[in-house]
Amino acid sequence: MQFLIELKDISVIFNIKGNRVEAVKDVNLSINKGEVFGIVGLSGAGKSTLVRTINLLQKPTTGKVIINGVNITDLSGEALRKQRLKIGMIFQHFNLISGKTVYKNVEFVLKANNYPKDKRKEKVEELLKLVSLEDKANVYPANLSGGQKQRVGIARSLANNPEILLCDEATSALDLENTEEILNLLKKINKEYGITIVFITHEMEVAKRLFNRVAVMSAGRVVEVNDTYSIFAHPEDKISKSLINKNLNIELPTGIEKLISIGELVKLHFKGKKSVEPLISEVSKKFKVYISIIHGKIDYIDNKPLGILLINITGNKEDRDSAKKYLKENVAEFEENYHLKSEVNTIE
Amino acid sequence: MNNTLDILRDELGKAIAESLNMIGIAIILSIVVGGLIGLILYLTSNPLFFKNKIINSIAGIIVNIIRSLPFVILLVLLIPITKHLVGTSIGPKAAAVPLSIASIAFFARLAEGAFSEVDKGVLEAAIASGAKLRLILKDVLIVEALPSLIRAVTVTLVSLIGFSAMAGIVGGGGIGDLAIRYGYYRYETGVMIATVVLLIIIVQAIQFIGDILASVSSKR
Repeated sequence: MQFLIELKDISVIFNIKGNRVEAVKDVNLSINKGEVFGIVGLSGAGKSTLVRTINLLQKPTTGKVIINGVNITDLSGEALRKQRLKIGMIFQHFNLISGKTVYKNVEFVLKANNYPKDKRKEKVEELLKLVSLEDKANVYPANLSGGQKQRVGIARSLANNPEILLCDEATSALDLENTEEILNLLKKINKEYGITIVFITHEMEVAKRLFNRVAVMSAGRVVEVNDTYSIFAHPEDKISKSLINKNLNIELPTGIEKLISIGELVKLHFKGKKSVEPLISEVSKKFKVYISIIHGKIDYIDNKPLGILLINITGNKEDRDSAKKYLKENVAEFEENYHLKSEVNTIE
Repeated sequence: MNNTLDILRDELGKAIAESLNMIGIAIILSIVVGGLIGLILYLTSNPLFFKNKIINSIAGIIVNIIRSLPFVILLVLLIPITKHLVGTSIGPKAAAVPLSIASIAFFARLAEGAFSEVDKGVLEAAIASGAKLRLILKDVLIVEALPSLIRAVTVTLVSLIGFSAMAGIVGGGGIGDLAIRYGYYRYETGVMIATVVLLIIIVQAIQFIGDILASVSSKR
């Protein structure tokens, strides 16, 4: 099977004031046609540099960028320009032309492709309709909200019917509501037009909501690649674990320990089908223990549940032990002697 | 007092025409040639385009040399070239040559500054979209730099008015020259005051119009 995008042994080395900085090191990635592929990592991990090699805004120092089986790494001039017409890109800070209206911003990209003049109006209107901004055609970007600006960015990036859409921290400058709006729009674009999306972000929430597969980057290297559910359910690399723990963690307010004077706290992780089984009721019926739920959270990734439950078990020691044993056998992960304090300090 | 009015009646109209002549030629050439040099300076310094240290340094050094010469010296130094270009070394047309050269260099630096203020991200987005260089320059760079370019034209115009006062040395005439010849050399204080007031009004008007145009063109 042929991949749409293949990155082979990509390294990017910058020379900043005589210092050699390896922003990307020996990265190999294969991205399927039609998928939403995410690259996550902390800032400075090299995500942005890596995604920029796909449209050669950043030339890799070594390695190959292959799109549809064709090596594009050494393209330049007219050939590179033609290739870029087929790759849309949206940015964290939108990068719209501030001196042009929404209409003219979208029209610019059509001009870049020598789109026939008499058909431009129709096409721009169609694109603005797709992003629900028909009524903003004659407005300047300064008068739009962040979410609206990004929607103009999306309309612009789709103007020449690209196969690939690159998203560079496309939601990082947006509030929750606008992020939601953009993610839904991207999902729709991916489904309806089959456009392959490569999305880089440091927000794990976005990863959970949008990506089919995820690559985790750290210090210029890709340390782990897997489908989104697996990354969240079974992160293997240290960095993946820390990123995911921060996202899936539950936080209890300080002072709560005063309310829980008896019993013992246990943290349970649920994964897959087991998440929906009535385990807590079962335990309290089978054993002479009382269980109170202190905190909990269930996420759905790819329609598969992933949950954490913090429970307090009371009862005599013998019963508690057998209850714990039973729990341990039936959950994905089990943490005993759970201390509230450690939960409060989740920031590393 | 009568003397002042007589002098103004006889000389002022001609002086204004001479000023307009010299400054008009110089500002048009500055915008076209200076703008182009500014663009070259910018494009050769920006890695998004054609970063080229050699061309950038050569253009930069030439611009700096012109800008470091006091205008009076440039005026005299350029006499042979002026004669060659316009056939004479005296009069407003002759004065327009050194004026243009000085203001081309001046405007080139201001234009370079205006271009480099343009958000790199916007240019990067345009490059990523696959647009041709010409389209990027016309539809992105110049559009985004326009308010700053208008301010640069305003500043250049005002300093041209100052420079043009020295054009009297080669018989260029103009309002500033009138002030020097009558007001300074002949102690005609009335002429001095009238011309200075006129210059103040002109400069204020240019600045006022320039500011309005700049703010209208800015959509930020």
